[in-house]
Amino acid sequence: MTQTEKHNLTVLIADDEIEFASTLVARLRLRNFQASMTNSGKATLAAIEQERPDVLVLDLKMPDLDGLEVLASLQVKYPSLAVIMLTGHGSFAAGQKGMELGAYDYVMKPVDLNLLMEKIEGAFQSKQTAP
Amino acid sequence: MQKLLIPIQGDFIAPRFDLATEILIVRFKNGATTSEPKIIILERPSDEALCQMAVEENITDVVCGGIEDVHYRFLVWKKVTVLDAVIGGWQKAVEKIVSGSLRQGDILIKSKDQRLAL
Repeated sequence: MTQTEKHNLTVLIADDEIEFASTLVARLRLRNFQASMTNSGKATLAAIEQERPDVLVLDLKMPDLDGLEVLASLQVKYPSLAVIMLTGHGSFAAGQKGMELGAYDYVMKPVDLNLLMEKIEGAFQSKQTAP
Repeated sequence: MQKLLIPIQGDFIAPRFDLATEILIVRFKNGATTSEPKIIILERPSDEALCQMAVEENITDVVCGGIEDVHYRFLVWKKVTVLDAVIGGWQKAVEKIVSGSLRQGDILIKSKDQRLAL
């Protein structure tokens, strides 16, 4: 089985940088992920309610609710959802804050696609094996 | 050991250096690639960020479509070999630069299996 055949996870990309998010969605789809995108905090919460993705890749900075606010809300309503934070270059502290709030990990922009895919799979597996 | 950077757009070399949001990086030596191609997604298009990345990643070769003269000169000043005005699929471009046959201004014909690798 090749790397691409074993995917098929559903992934939601939440980022207000539309070009970035759409590029990431396109690349993930080429690797057999079922990827979709939202561009605001409120839209992300609504999409999770409807789509129930396996993994959420959540940008820190969004226009209405920021990533940490979205994450805090999700931890109450969907504690089993695997979340990876996206942070700007050099934003270690924000990424670590996200992990304190329950995110599996964080990835800094610009995003190495292979690294992100590894973390998506790791995040999903961690939720599968969680007690 | 050489390290190649190509701004890409899907399966193709991005037509403009300053509008690319995806970057391909691959190492090669003696006519063969020595690493899997790495794709990096930029937060937003930025020719200055691309130049900075080329320096930080110790890139030796850049293949691109159109590039502003100021950025071309910067990269050349940093001892990066720049092949610009190259049009076509990036996989073919990688094959040709690795084999030493890619030239500035080359127009590369899309091959049937171009979408398979990544």
